[in-house]
Amino acid sequence: MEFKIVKLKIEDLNSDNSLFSCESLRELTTLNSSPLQTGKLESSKIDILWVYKDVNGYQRIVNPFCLNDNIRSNEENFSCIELLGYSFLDCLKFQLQTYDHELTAVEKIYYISWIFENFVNKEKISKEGLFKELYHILNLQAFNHRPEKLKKLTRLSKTILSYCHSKKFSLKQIQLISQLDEDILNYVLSINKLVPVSASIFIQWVQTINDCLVQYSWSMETFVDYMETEGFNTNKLTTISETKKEFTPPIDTSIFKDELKKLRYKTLYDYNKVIEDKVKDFTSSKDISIKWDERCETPGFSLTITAKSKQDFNDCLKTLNDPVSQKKIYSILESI
Amino acid sequence: MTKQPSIPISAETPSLAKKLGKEKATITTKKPIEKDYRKGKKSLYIEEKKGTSFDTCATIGNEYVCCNVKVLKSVTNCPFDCSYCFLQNYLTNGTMSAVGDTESLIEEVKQRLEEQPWRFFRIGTWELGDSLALEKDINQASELIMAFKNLPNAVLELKTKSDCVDTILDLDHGNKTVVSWSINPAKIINEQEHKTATLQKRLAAMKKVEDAGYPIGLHFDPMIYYPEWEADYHELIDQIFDTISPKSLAWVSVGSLRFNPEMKQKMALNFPKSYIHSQEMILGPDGKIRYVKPLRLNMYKSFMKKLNSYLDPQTVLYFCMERFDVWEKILGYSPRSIGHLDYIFADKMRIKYPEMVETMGSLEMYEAHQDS
Ligand code: SF4
Repeated sequence: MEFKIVKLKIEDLNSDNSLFSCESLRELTTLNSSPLQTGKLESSKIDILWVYKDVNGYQRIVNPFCLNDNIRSNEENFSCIELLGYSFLDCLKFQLQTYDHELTAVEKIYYISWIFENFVNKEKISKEGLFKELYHILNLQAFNHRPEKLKKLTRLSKTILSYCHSKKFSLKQIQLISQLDEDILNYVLSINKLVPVSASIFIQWVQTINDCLVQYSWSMETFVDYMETEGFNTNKLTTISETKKEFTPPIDTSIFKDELKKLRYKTLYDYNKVIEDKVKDFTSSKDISIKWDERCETPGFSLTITAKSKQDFNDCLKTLNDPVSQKKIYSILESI
Repeated sequence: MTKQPSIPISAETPSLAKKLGKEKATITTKKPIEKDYRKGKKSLYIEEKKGTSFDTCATIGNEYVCCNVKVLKSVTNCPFDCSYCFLQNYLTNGTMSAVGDTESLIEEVKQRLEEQPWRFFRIGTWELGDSLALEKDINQASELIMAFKNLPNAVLELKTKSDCVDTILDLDHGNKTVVSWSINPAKIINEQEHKTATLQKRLAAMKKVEDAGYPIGLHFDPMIYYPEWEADYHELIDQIFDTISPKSLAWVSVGSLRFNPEMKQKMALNFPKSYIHSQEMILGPDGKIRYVKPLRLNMYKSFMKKLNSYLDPQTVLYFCMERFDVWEKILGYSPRSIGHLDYIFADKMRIKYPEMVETMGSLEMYEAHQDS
């Protein structure tokens, strides 16, 4: 690749004529621990801005990521490499090949959105055409036949993508949540603000909420109202945690978890409650315990006797042989 | 020498086009690879039988009772578009196709029958599609009906959600073909079983088939839960028995909605308006997602009570892929094994339709060979 070193000012790149917008790139710096931000990428290859001249003679940026470092260092002039005689697409491909193995799923999505915002149509490249070129380089072959799925990912809000990035979501996980209503994602994100939620719990909760909405034909508003009535109000909790910053007690999400489970598995919840009551009624002795399949799919139960002495053991046997106890055991068996 | 397909390959098939809602539909001799199962429904490929077509129903398992029906893979993909169809997650090549050389299929069936002459075989052609939906264009079921008439100890099951029965009505079936319907209340048909025949049309077709003397099968499977399920399923039973006599039924199966975990996302994607995949369901030990057992029991109890008020005792009533304890709780008994259920079929059919079962193997033989 032929190139020459040129000096450019940020204004050169940020003018109306330029297709590049500094704002969209600044958003990239909000990504925590991104190699883009921390400059962990192979610096020799990317610490310098690459530009090329478009057909109208404007300098266009090819590798946006290293600009962050340059912005942070407040330099007025950038040393740039101007790639000579290559099309935008060639430059892009070359650059992506350099980055690919370092980019997280979210960064790939950001990058693609950035390209869409700044180059597509203006560079007379169709999105579809661009997708085809990028799939391979970015390891996005899964989207080969479904470009609309990838487009859906690029439409996710920056807040959500930032969360996904901080939790190192895989492309598959992001794809999964991209199919859900953004209100659901934002709701769980608001819980995450109070209590950090791991990626797997996040996914589990958003999926369960989505299922509940479908199951009951509810809107998100109805769901939030329901949770509030049951004692879980994210707004109230946020206010508490903001006003009492220094000694905020850990927010208890158990109400939320319980209510969500109860809502999603109402029949099972009620059923298990009945069994639980029967078991409690039967085992007043601490030495006998009963466990059953709480999904209520596999029939039967396992009964455990804890005996430290012959006496303990005989007492347990006596309890089990007692006709009243046996009636209770049969009743438990019948309900499982 | 390779046998030529016995189905004439015509350039255009207007009836298929009508079914697909297209101006034209063409039967092609080149089977393209179509990854998208929906796009694959848009053309029909007539192919030669390749490899083995005879198999045991893919759902055989241990904890859930399987009826041990055999399948003949004679069609792949289907012009209908049910939201719960497992094909959306199963086919690697979605191109709709039908085996053209019916004789080769029959040859394979004959060989299998000869290996176990003591056994009564129920053989269905619905494993990977609908047995009758394409019949006007392919004439395959008609050829199979005629061939099965002369096969000992075997019955053909044509299972459908269509009303495409006219071409088979005048055939001399000899009581060796059961025409069966997978059936649901009108609401489910309209909302979930896209492009299939309406309930009224299915019932009308059922009546025609009854008048033509065919034994009939009913499959209330998948039963689907929704707020008004109980009243609707009860009404459905009344509607059916207002149309046909319970005496015309060879067998009736009942099963609830179930699918592989990966299907859930596919269903949500392919049918964004569908609600059926997000009801109260759990992952069972057989790797399938199904309604929680208390819900299933509740549905079956009410449904069976109504159904039993009509059924003829010689009709085989069975659950499809249900647990032994569910059988016990709802019907008061359960087969002791898969082989036992297979035997029950043979025994009841022998009495009800003597032409179907010429040789009766023992229960022990059925149990010893239940996996083959
Ligand atoms: S009729 Fe059967 S094969 Fe056809 S789409 Fe419906 S479920 Fe699938």
